[in-house]
Formats: sequence, structure tokens, C-alpha cells
Amino acid sequence: MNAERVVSVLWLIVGGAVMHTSYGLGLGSGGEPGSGFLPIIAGGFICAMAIVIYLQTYTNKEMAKSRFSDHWRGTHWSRAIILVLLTLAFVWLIEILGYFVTSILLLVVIMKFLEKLDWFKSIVIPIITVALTYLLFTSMLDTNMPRGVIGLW
Amino acid sequence: MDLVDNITLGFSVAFQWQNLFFCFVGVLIGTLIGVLPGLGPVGAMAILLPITYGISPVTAIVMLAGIYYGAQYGGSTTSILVGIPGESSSVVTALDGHQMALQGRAGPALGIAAFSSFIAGTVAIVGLMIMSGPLVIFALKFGPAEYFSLMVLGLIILTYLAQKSMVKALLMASFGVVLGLIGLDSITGMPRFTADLPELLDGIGIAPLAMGLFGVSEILLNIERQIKRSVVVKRVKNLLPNLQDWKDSAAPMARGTAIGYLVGILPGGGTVLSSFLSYGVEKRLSKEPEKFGKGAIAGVAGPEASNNAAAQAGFIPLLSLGIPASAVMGILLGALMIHGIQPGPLLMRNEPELFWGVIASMYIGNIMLLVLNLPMIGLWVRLLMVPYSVLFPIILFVALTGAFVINGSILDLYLMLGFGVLGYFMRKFDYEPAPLILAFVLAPILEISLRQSLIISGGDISIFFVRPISLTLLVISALLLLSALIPSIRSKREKIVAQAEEDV
Repeated sequence: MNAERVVSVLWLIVGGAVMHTSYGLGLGSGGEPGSGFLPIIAGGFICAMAIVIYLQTYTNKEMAKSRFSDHWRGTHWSRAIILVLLTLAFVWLIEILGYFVTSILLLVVIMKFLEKLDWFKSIVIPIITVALTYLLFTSMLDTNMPRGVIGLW
Repeated sequence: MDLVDNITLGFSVAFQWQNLFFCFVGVLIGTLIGVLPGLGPVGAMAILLPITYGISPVTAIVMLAGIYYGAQYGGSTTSILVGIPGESSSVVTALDGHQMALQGRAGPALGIAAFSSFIAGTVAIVGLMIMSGPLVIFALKFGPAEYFSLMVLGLIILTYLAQKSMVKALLMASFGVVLGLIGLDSITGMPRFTADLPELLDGIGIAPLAMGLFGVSEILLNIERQIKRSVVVKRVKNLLPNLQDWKDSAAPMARGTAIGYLVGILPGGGTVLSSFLSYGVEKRLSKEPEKFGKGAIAGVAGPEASNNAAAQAGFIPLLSLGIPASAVMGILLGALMIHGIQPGPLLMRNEPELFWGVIASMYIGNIMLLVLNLPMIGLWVRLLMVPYSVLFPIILFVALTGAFVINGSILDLYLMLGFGVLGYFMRKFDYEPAPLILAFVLAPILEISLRQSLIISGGDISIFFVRPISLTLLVISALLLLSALIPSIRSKREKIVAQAEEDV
């Protein structure tokens, strides 16, 4: 499967969806352009460019031989997936366990299990980081960090 | 007010203690992220954007600008000592700079890099002061039609100078426009693309978008590649270049400054292209081109001058026209708008403290950087030894905290992560994020000027073609677009960057 071609089809779908939604918003008239006026032009551009890219996968030598596996060859891509999942877990847990517990948990898990640092570094660095970051941001802005359902910090 | 009064005003603002302090914080962070590979200035500025909500707009811009030009200094340190560029704009510096370090001349290489940066930066600030005035007077004649055409031209030049595919860059810009229009329509009050989420009525914030595209996606790409760095030089001596070094560097420095200044004003030109161009020019003009790549000091002085001049010149279109020329300037524009300041030709008249204060702070910032980067070089060498396994969790966590504190919204965290994943795939397939972020910040202004023009003309699109300035801008845009379609010119466009890379 040609990777560039698949990606261009995805963009075509995005562009089409934008145009469809924009049409629903109302295009207005020339003298009084509506909410969908500029978005539908932008959506049209996305579609047009996606089609050009699609065609280029037949004319451009480099793009013609683009394979998904080439883009990930020789990389430890599972690390990227794990990090995304850990971050998702962080966002999901922050309202349940609260900011401090979740933050320290996230950093300890990354440093100890993903990066295989020793226990001392994996505990001390997160504690310092969380404390400093908290002070930095809350001294500038008054946002209350989530405390979690148990009322823990 | 004449120029002297303005400069006096600027320095009186820049010397206020909070501006001095945040200027220092900015250049310090800039040097830091410049030294450490794996986080660029755009990502760093986006992550620190939330902090600027709590300080005055002048101070905020002083700090963010400091991060940007500070990164240009710091990037060269890593390039020279490790041979891996700390910043994309110092890729070329690595070639001859690192060779000099291997030959035991790390000191003069670092020294000339810092002095070139300082001299070019300072000269470019003077250029910025001189250039902005006339541009503002010219821009005051602009109506919505001219603004619309100018933004179209800006976006087209940006995609024209894109390093990879121009078609992909145009697609990114169009997608950026759509993202920028999410939220309530400012004229009709109708919600657009909000997926019925009340949090999206105000639109997507620039912070989660930029942090995701430039911060998170970089982390994802870096951890699958496992960066290994080895510092060859642990102790640096003799930072002052000798007389011969100065002789060899003077002309490259001057040419580099001129190239950087001219390229820096163009949308999308920026620091990377200017440093490549400067290197190419120096190699071609040199009497001993064979020395390039083997430790020629001209190959350090030229590009280092060039990227700093470009960094400063990039402020000209933003401060005088309100049009950002690069992703970094897009973030600065976003920061100004967060504080309710409308950048544009009126900025100089309505907010003289901001305009002149920021410019004056750049002189001070450049002096601070010289001090930070020469006597304190040992500290940065030690920092280079901090492994990425410690750095990236910290960067990610600071970004997560920053994205949350702005609105206290969990949705912003999901958005940031989502844009991080999107940016990861985009970079895999050579879709550059810079046109997206610029179009994103410009979209609301673009739409308002388009609709106002059409309302004024009663729906007659000839308004864009009968006004001379607007017509000229659109004709240039069309020519650029068309020229990209003609194969011979297209290959020339690709050569602008490719040739420079070949020279390297």
C-alpha cells in the first residue's frame, strides 16, 4: 500500500467533511458572506491539494515508492505508543487521584519503567519537578489544580 | 516623537526591573533549550505561554522574544561541542564548528559564534528600528482589502519557501485556517466546528495546539530514535579568537548579517534557510573552498551571524504589519492577542512602550547572552551531559501542567495530546507544522478582512483588484503560485534549499 496515497485520501475525507459542514453553516451572499464562506474555501483547498498529492504519488518517483514500514524502520516506535497511552492515563486519572499523585505517578512510571533509570533518580527527580512546576505556574496564575475525588492532592 | 525619544522611551521600559528580570529568564531558557537537543524554540515558547498570562504584555513579549533569539546562541554550543545541532538553525554550524573542536579549537569556535551572533543581532536590531517606521506609514494606508491580500501573499510566500513539498504546505495552511475558525463566528455568533462541546465555543487555544504540534510530537519522534550524545570537549579554554580568526571572519560576518536580515523579513525564510544560504555563499566566495567542512572559521562566523540577523529581522513584519513571518512569530502574535493587543501598523502609535520596549530589551538581551554564553560556557557543557531520559519526562510534564492551568480545562489536555499525535504523523510524512500554526493565528483576521471588504464593496470581488496595493500583492501571490507549477522554476525553488544543503 502506498503510504502517501493513503494519507492523501485521509486529507480528502477531512476536506470533504469541512466543506459539508461549512455548507450547512450557510454561505451567505457575496455582499454578506456567511459563517461557512471562508471555511468552505479552505475545505476546498484541502481537497484540491489532497488530489494533487494523490496524483503526485504516480508521477513523483520518491512518493511512488512510499511505504508505511519505511517511515518506521529502525525506530523503537512502541516507545512512542506507550508514552501516548501513559499520557492518556494521566489525563484520565488527574480528576480522580488529583494533580500531585497523578503527576508523580506519571513521571515515576516513565523514568523507572520506560527509561529504566534507578529507583533513586526515578523518585527524587519527579518530586522536585512536580514541586517546582507547581510553584512556577501557580505563582503566576491562580488556577486550582484538580484535587481528585478522594480529596488527595 | 523622533527616533531618539523613542529609543529613550524603549530603554526606560526595558530597564524596569521586571522587564530586566524576565528578559534574563527568557534568554536563559532560550540558551538552555538551544543547548539541549530535542525541544525547539517554538515548543518552548508554547509551553511557557501560560506563564505570560500572569504578567504584563510588554514583559511577556520581552521574555518570549528572549527565548527565541537566546536559542540561536545556545544551539551553536551543542553544534560545536557535540556535532549534533541543538537547534535546526545551527545545523550548518556543526560542520566546521565541530571540526574546529576536534582540532582543539573549541574555544575560538564558540567565541566567534557568540561574537558573530552578538554583532549580527545588534546590527539587525538597528535595521529593525529603521525599517519599521516607513513600513508603518505605508501600512497605515491599508484597508481590509489590502490586509486580506497581504495575508494571502504572506501565506503563499511561506509555503513557497517550505523546505519540503509546497503542495503539502498549502494543505497545512488551509487546515490551519479551518482550525483557526473553530468557535463562535464573531459576526453572526454562530458556533462552527465545535462538535457541541461548550469548551470549544471560544475556539482552540494556541497553547495546546502549538505545544502539541511542536512539543509533544518532537518528544514522540525523539524517544523512538533514542538520542545518544557524546561531548568531545569537557573543558573549553581560550574563548577569544585571535587576530587571524577575526580577519577570516569579518567579511563572512558582514555578508551573513546582510543575508540573514533580508531572508529573515520574508515569511517562512527564517533562521534555517538564511544559515544555509550564508554557508553556501561563503564556500563559493572562499579562496580555499576545500577547507570548508574541515574547520574553516568562516563557516562558523557567516551562518551564526546570519541566523541571528534573521531571528531579529523576523520581528519587522510582526511589529510593523501585524503579520507573523514564522511559527515563532505566530506564537508571539498569539501572545499579544491573548493580552487584547491587536498587532499591526497602529501598534507603534498606540503601544509605544511595547514596541520600543521590546526592541530595546533585545539589545540588553544580546549583551546578557554574550555573558551567559562565554564566561559560563562550562555550565552549559555540564548540562549537555543530562540524558534525554531525564529531560523528556520533565518537558512533557511541564507542557501538561501548562496546558491545564490556562483554562483549568481537561479538554485542553486531550487537545494537546491529540495535536501531538497528529504532529508526529505529519512530520513522518513531511507535512510541516509551521504553515498550519501561522494560518491558525491569521485565520480570524483573514476572515474579518475578507468579509469587511466584501461588505464594503457590496459583494463585488473586484475590490481586491482595483485597489493598486491589493492588486500588486495578489499578482505577486499568483505569480509565485504559478511559478511553482512550471517544472523548471519548481526545480529552482527546490534548489534554494537543496543547493545550500549540497554545498554543505
